[in-house]
Amino acid sequence: MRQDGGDVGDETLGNIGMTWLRSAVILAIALAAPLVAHAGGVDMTDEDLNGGADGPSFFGFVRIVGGPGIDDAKVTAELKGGALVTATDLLGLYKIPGFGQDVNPDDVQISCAKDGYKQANVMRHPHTAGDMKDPIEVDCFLQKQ
Amino acid sequence: MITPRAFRGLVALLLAAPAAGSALAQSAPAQGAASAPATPYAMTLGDMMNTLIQPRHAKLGLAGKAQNWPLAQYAMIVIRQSFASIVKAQPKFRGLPVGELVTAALSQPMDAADAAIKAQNPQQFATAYAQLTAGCNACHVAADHPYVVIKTPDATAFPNQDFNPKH
Repeated sequence: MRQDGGDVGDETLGNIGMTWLRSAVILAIALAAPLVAHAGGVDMTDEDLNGGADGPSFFGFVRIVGGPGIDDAKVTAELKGGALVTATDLLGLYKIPGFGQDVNPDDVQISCAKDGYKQANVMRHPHTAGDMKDPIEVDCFLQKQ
Repeated sequence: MITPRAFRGLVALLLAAPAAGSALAQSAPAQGAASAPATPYAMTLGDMMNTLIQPRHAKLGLAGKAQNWPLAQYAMIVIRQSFASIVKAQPKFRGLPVGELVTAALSQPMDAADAAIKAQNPQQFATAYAQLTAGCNACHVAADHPYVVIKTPDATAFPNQDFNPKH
């Protein structure tokens, strides 16, 4: 028993209480913070979801020369040491994710194919060098064999 | 030492914190609006689709179903004008060229709808309208919004408009 009337047990309990108080305040702030942070109601629907971490992605249309898009055409993106294959959707559109920031987009070669067609031309749209966020458009044209 | 009274206070603080945060969340824009200068609201592509395109797509379908060809022709004109305005206002959506998407998805079906209206052919119009609607949905898929599914209207959402032709 201490001379001030308290005892060691009470003091320990007091320290625990203060620790608990600090924890409670931190928890309370943590619980409130997300609600405050969302106060602006930011709508992300128009935002480009590619933050640039994977380097620029690729997209484009596969079309008949002078004609509409071709669905279910095979699109190949080749890079030294490998290739990624995808297919076009109903509009003739394809999308290919970025290959990483350390990959030069100019080293990625896009080609397209479909049974009964042969590749006529590949058109790479201008892209700002070093831009890791905006996707690169590469259109591919087929003609009937 | 933590007293029972202090403990009750802590519990009250814990319980009140999320509510206070919520109240802040709701009041923050109002306070900001009062002190900050007004800024023009920039419509998102979704806003424009909901206000300019979707109602007109519905009106086109209702006019065609009623064989009100002048109204259907007018609906086609304003749909084309609306898309032209949207492409100017928002040339890209998530990096994709909006104009190219619209052309790829809707150019042929819109031409087919125009031809059906000119021919005043209800079957031809129904086919073209279905193609147009499919084009809308193909575009939504391409833009990573596959859950926005457009269909032929099965009822009018415009109780103050008569879609029947005037004879």
